[in-house]
Amino acid sequence: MSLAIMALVMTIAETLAVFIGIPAAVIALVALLVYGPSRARRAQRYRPGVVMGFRPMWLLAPSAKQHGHARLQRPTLPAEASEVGKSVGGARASW
Amino acid sequence: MPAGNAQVGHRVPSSLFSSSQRVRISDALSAADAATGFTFSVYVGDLADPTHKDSISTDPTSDQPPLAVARRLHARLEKPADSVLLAIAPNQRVLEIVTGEHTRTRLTDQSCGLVALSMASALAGGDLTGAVVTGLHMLVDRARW
Repeated sequence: MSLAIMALVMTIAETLAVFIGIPAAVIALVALLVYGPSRARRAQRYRPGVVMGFRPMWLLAPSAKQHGHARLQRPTLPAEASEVGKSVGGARASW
Repeated sequence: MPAGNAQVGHRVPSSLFSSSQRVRISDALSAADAATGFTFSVYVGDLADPTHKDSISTDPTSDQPPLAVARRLHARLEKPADSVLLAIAPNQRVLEIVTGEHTRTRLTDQSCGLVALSMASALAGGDLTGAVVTGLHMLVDRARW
């Protein structure tokens, strides 16, 4: 049975289901497979003023890590106060 | 405000950054290291750790946290004199830029102050990754040769 003959014997509901419902279902499935996984593990968005629970992290350039900085992966505090150099500078800001 | 916010404080997600944001920061760190010869590092976490309060307060000459905490983190780097630490405490809404003995001569405190202010304004808008990346770019631009 060709498509044209099939269309003649189908009801309106069947036509809608076949030509709109099925394509829509396929599109939805593909979209879910594409965007679903990344949405599920998306990092939380930072909002100033909202206290968040998160794991502290200490980031270095990949090349610096290779040169013996790997121990910094565990960002626990602190060095003894005496180890802190006297001639350190810098700046602070708050928001 | 979304209803989900009530749980935010109790939930401990794996990360503040998505993988693409991590890559952006990593690239900015590599570029900053390569351009200046310094070791740049970024710490994101609380700058007042309640479990370490004793060790902080035993030294009467030490600065108050979060500066003291940031300086101790900086001191733990491989070569503190040649390193620059950007320490950001999102919950406390404070950030510290710490330079070492050598880096300080090329990155003045005044330059760091300007960069810190710029980063703070990005952070006030909720742009954590942008603040880090822009801050690193600005520090490189302001490093004197």
